[in-house]
Amino acid sequence: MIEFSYSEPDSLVELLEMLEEGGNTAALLAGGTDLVNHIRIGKRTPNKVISLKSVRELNHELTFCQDGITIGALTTLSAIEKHSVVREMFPALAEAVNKIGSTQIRNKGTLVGNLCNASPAADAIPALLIYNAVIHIVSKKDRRTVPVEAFMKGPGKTDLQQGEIVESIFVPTPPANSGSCYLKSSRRDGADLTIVGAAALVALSGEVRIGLGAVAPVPFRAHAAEKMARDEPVNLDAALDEAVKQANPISDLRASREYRLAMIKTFTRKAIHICRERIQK
Amino acid sequence: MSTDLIEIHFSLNGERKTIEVKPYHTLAQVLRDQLDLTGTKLCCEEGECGACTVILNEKAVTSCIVLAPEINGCELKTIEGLVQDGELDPVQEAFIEKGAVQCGYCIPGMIMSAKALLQENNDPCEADIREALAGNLCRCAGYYRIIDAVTSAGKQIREANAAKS
Repeated sequence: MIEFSYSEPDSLVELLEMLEEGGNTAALLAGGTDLVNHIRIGKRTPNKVISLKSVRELNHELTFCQDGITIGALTTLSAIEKHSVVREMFPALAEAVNKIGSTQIRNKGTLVGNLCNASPAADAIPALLIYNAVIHIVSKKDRRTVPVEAFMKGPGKTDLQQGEIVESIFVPTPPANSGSCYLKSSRRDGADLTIVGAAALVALSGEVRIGLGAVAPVPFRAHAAEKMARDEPVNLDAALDEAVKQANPISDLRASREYRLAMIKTFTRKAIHICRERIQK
Repeated sequence: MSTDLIEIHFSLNGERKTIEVKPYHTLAQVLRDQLDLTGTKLCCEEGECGACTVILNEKAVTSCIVLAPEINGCELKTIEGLVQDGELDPVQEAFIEKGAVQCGYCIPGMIMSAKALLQENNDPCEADIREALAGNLCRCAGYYRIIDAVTSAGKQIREANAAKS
């Protein structure tokens, strides 16, 4: 591995100062499950690694309020998937997070890190999309919030500008009388990358939300399909065709483009059925 | 840029340690090359195979993708720390008893993942065990006996706890 320095600032002010100074030669370390690998293979070549671990303003915990949950920059994937409130109120998020990597990866990796890594196949992002999550961003000069839908810009690319970090993710409480779920198509059950990731939310009011991953350069909300599924709930097939139209998957060693396109319909349909069952409970 | 040695303090298998590490070394490198704890194995070096699994603050992690300075202030357990007063850990005993070991290279990682699981839940079902070990690959494909061993270790631990109380 290349040589770099390591620092552990203990306040946000100090962290943002270091980040500005380091410019694009600095790399932020949260869980490190992506960063350390990227450094090893030469995808990133920082000369300064800045750990977020001791920054007192950054949260390791999940916090709740009436309106939703806030996931801190240091909240691990394990902490999220095991949390009873997440499992009960945000099942699609718990299910998606549980599908990331292995136990060892989830014990170390963070949701904010997963988001910032911006993989087209990131499992958690379709789930964040259907819950209308918002990203809280902070820099030395400013604070701003961005809907998760606008945060993703391309494979490995996000809306984050030089000198900015993601402080937390806010996930609003889903509508009353709704059900949600996340399904993943992959070759093996544990520790595999996603072929198609489908998150869905269905409310008794008729509202349908669909978030898809691994079938386009960024995970996306299938808005046209959602509208059709709402207006014509019996004709789900036509709605799912709309979702397929919006996708543009690649062929790789995991699956062909054609297989992925076919699986969008299969998995989204299944996800919507599970959501409907969950409303009744 | 300073790539000088960094002093770190941590607990290693119950003993306090202070050592100096290179900022760009991984925990696995430090364990094996600096501390001569070669029970922790290196294989894929990208957090995929689980051979280098250790228990950091009660959680199983792959030490090949942990930077050495990150463990400052942490509690670390490696395979070498499982033996208590010359006695093997119940998980180690169960692996021997059930014939779960073939070539043995993945076994320290398997045992550390199993140990972390059983510390949290000493009565796991098969699905729990499979999930906890999904990040540990065994190229001899000895999975069934490994699962048997973890089930059996859980039983041993529960019986020992019941006998104590």
